[in-house]
Amino acid sequence: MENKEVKRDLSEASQQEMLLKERKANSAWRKLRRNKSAMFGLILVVFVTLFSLVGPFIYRVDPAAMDFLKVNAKPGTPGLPLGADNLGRDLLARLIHGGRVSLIVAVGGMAVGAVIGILAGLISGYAGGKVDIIIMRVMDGMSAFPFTLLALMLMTALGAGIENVILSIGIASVPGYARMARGQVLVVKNEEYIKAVKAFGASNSRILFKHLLPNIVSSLIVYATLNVAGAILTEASLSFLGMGITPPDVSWGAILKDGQDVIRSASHIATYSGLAILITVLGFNLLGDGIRDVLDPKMKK
Amino acid sequence: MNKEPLLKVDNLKTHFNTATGIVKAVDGVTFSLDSGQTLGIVGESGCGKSVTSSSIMRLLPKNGHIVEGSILFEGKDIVKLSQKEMLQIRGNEISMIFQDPMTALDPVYTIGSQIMEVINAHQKMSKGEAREYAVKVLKMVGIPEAEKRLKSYPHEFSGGMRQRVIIAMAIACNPKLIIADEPTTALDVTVQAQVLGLMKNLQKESNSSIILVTHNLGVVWKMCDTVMVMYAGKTVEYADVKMIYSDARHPYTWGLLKSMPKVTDDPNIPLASIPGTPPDLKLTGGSCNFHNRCKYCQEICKNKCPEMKEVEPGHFVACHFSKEELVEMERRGGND
Repeated sequence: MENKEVKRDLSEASQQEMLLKERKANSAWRKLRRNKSAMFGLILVVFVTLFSLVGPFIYRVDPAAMDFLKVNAKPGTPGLPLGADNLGRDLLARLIHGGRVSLIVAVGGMAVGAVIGILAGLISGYAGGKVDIIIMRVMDGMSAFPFTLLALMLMTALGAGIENVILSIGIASVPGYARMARGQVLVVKNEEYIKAVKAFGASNSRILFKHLLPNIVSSLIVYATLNVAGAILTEASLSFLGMGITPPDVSWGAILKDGQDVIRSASHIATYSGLAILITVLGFNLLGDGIRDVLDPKMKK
Repeated sequence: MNKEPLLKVDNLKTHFNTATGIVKAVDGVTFSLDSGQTLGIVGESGCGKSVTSSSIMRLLPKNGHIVEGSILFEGKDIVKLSQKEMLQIRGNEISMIFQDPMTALDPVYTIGSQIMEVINAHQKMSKGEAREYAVKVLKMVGIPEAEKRLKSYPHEFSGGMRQRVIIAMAIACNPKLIIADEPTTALDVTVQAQVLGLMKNLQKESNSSIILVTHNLGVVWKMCDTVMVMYAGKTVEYADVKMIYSDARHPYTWGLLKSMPKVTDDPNIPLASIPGTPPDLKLTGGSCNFHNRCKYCQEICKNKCPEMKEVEPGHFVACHFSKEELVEMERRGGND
């Protein structure tokens, strides 16, 4: 560690220096660096992201090319590092391309849910009264359905396609964000600095987006990170049930479904796709927990 | 000189609707304030001091309404202005200093950007100009190395320094009126005097008026020109600060003055206090609000709410009895 001895005097300059040092050491990034499990999560997330985003440029194999001579080929077969699936398609290429879709769907779904949900929660919490009642009753109605069931129903209504998967996962996760944001707004809006900002002549929209949102954003980041993990699982469940990603697109959930039929004869298909999901979800969960430790001082030991 | 006072509050009534009835938090408050003058509002907790100042800012909670009276600020009735017009007044012509400097600054922004936000909300200035101006105000309130401190966050300041920053924000747009709601209550005694002195100096330079809400009668003596004593939502006495100290007329004011501890007091004698508690503000209005705690209470006090009377020029009292009558009662042994 960098424990260079500071010159010990009480001059303004060295106090200033101390302040800067402290600020640097306590920055969110530094704190995250000190958190081992969060760093492990981050490494997993970065690995999976690189795997599926850069992978296609290094491992140039068409994930849709079928070779019926190699159906269910075991891992290690020459030219097939992870074997082939039930239609003789290269499993590694499929995992790489499937990861792309899974991650895009998860992050996209998170973004859709977060934007709509946070906006609804902010307005609901700040306005109060009738507006609050109406928005929150709608959210209650939505969360009365199990998450996956709601996403499934939306998929049925919207039809297949990557955009629709993103949209339905996003909409299904709106109530969670809205509740979270509203709860935080109710706490923060009674803080004296919000009153002070009002007394200095700030308009409602300014208070909402410049003062309330930044003050609640840390807990929302945590929630969103954990939500990405959930979205990956939801996408996998949807695809597994045949309501999500449809061929020729691939996703991890879709590969898992392909592997299900042949799980006794070719277990590697389900194993590797399941492992990919596991690693990603674990990564996001550890990262989310770590970010919470860093951003929420009340959780500190 | 303009004869019209800067702020003239006339029979202001602010009520709150609650599940159990109407809370008359402010129920007839009258005072006026000239430019460059300081008014002290004193009274115990819950007597409507803060609601009076929120009413002037028009920053009442949703269930609070100004039901009667007027607040004339430079001749305009604030009660009748729209919320949009109020945005231009808040922070610009009337601004506020808060009780607790530890919580009155937004923790996620540097103090520089917070001061500049106030400036930009009301004045057309480029970013650079606003920055320079922010440094200038910070220097005015005595923050050392103002230039560097612009980039500091609120948690990097001590309480006294933060209160200075809040004062800087309050004076940034040269307001004509500053409402200070117990500005020194949360500060160390050693810092209190500094902050009060600073406010006094800034007032001299800018000729702005101050409304000082406080519990502390010593602060009133040091800072104020006129004093309004409030009790249970009403003005009970309003006068020049010297008159209040030398010639108070209302039994409640006497009680307040008596309960002020002095260094010269004999430590073996218990501190004086006013027995009893203020009435429930949902039940006030039909009688003198102070009658259940007043040792001079008579039949009329229980049945009739006293009117404000001008007993001498500039000295208003709301009591059924004159000072002479009260003194006479005291001589005969209090309640008879």
